[in-house]
Amino acid sequence: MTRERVVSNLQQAAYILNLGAVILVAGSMAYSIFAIVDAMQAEMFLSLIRVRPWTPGAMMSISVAGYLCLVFFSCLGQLWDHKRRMVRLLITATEMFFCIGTTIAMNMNYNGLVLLVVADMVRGQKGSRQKVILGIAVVCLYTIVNYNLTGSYFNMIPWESYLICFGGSTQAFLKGLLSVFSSMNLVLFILYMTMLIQGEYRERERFQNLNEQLEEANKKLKEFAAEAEKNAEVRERNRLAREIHDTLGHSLTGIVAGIDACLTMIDISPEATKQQLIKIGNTARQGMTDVRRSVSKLRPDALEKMDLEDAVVKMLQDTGAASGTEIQFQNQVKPFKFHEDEEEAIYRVVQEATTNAIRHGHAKKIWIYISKAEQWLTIMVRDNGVGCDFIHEGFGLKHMEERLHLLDGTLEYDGKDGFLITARIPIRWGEEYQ
Amino acid sequence: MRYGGKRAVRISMITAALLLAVVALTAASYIGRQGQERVLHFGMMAGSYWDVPTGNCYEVVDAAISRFEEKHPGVTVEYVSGILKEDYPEWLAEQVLLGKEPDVFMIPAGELDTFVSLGILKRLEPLMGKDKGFEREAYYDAAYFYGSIRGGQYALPYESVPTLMFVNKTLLSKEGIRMPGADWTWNDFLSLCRQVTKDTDGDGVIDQFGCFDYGWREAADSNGAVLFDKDGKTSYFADSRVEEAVRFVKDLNAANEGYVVTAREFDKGQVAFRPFAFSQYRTYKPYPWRIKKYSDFEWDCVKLPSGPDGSGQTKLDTLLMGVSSRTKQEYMAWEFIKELCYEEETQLHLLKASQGMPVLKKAAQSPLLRQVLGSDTPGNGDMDVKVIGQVMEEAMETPNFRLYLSAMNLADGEIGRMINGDVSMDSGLLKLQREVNGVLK
Repeated sequence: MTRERVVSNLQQAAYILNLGAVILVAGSMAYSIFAIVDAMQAEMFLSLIRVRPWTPGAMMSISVAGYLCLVFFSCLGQLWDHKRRMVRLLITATEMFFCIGTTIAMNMNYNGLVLLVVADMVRGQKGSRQKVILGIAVVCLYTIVNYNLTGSYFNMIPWESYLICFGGSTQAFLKGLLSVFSSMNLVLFILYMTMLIQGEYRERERFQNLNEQLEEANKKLKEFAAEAEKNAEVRERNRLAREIHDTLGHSLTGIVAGIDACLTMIDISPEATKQQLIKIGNTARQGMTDVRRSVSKLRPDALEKMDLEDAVVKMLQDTGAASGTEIQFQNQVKPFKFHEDEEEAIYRVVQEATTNAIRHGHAKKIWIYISKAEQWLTIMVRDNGVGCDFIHEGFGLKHMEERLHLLDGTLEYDGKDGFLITARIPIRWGEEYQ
Repeated sequence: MRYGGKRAVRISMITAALLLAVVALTAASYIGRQGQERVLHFGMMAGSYWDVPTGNCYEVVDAAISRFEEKHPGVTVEYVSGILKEDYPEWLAEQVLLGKEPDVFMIPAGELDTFVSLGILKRLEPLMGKDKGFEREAYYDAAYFYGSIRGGQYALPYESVPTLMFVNKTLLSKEGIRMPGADWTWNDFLSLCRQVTKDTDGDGVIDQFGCFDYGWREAADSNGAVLFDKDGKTSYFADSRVEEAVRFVKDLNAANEGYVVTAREFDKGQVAFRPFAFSQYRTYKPYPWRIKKYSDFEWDCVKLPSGPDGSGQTKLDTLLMGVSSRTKQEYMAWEFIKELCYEEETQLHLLKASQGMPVLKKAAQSPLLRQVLGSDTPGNGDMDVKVIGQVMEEAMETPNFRLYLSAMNLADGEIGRMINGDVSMDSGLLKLQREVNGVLK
């Protein structure tokens, strides 16, 4: 049998057991009134209890009806356990109402119904604040339905007074029966609670396991990522070496050899040397073209495929989407078209600054602003991240700086309020207009 | 498996709902059957409430019911007849347990407190407040306030019985003594008693006496002693007025020179004074009860003599009627209790057909009283009607708290011993007061 099935069976058993107890208590009370009237003991009974009891019919029907309502709402609470908190709270309150009502209808001579409500409340509670409320509610409920505490205040009539009309052995039997009902009810409640707590414990254990696995997987993933990066770097280095060897090495070898030939030839035949130098020049040019081509392979793929503006926007969109950061990009420079090296620098600065903001600043919002003044193009990248008082290397800033220096540009940064990077690049506008 | 759990819950829920419907339908059909017709139930005891012989005990009530039914067409009043006074409390308790108590009913003597604490009686002030024609000043105070307890009015008086001093006029005139007036005192009373106590036939045995049946209770009342506080939590037996009363009774008994007077001597005309309940008075003389007693003396009634601190007050015994707190016909029940307790016609009818006094001042002071009393006492008896009115007016209300009777029984025993001289009076009353307070706590 599964745990759920056991819990469900315990609940059913508790419902039936309590129905038995309610019928026993209310029934014996109602019956005893008729018995007392038959025995002409009414005046004595009234003077003994000092309170007017309910009529037998009302006693019986209200007790049973109240109990059935309690069961109904208890079931409803289980079916609706996914509803809003207000609804669940309302159902619990209704359950408490019927619990108190039924107990009072039975003149507080059976208070086992509280356990039903408490079981429901414990099952439904979530969070520590609710635990406090639950505790208070349980204490209140117990106080209210406890005959010894509040019975005389509510003018309740003890069961013993009703039982006087029965013979001694019948009295003993009825009392024994009720105490069996009470103890059984308590046993069921304890079992139910045990199952419930066990279930909760297991659930928590399962969560913990899953969490550990997830952490493990995460760690592995990070290692993989580092490995992959390293691999890519090695591959790239190899490719660069090959390229340099194939292009620059080739050209330089040719040039060195050519120059050596020129040195030998120059005194013998200046003409031939000139011819040779033209060849060397061609080789050098060819080498330069090759280098250019090689370098162009290092350009971001996006810049190869589309123009700068689209490439930047796409890159920002991808980064923003991947990291869940809101990125605002404002560009006032139109047309946004420069030399390849300048475009690349702009692209890389924006990319690096954004990456920094997300990775180190944990920013949720990034503003990027590009403007121009005279020949200067200014890129400002600001974020709302944690910022940084003491700026150290390794943020890719060095890299950016070097890149900008190649173009005679500057880089400034400030980590006081979020992080602000200002990059300024002198653009060769003249050439642009050609 | 989760589904299996939910299914079981659903089954329980549907079962509970079905059972609930069955219970609700049963209860609804039962309640529906109950409230069909407009019948007002009335609870009354047969015979005389005052323990005196009576004729048709239903005469007044029957007449009131037919008048009521005429005024309120469509409403019928039903009562169960033949429940004797001694069975009535049990019958009423049974009806209460079964939830079938009458809408309006007589309250058995001394049970008002118990009934109120049981919550059986409806508080009447709200009904009185709504009824513009109702004025509580129409009642004698002592009668009206007997129905008031725990700060509320829970019952209306129906009939009262005052206590009067019955005077053997024949004996007094033989001794050459004038009838005492309304302002006579204990001293007058004691000296008259001493004067008449003698041996008339010369056989050496006293055969003429001053009084019979005058006890410490009458003495305490007529001396203005208040024995209990309003809530019945404290007693005042050590009060000087009680002490005076006990001393007075002791003196009176001493006047009989040790002879214990009985009702026989009184019936034979050998006793000058006897405190008498009005109901006993009504049934003492008239035919056919007169025959049994062979008395052939003329008599009259006066107020009880006043003690040094009192004015001759007596207690008023009152029969109360109440409305059930569970009545479904509150308005009709109020109208009916008014028909019995507030309608002049009913109250006047009491004069003719019952043995008590009306509780309405107007009815009690009507000229009918003289007529009725005249017919009850053919020829030889006479009565000053004004005396009865005055006694009713001055009467003290009888305490109605639950333990009153037990407290008084305890006091009777103790004070009896003091009067007989078995116990010292000085410390005895204080001890009695402590004892009674212990009972009341």
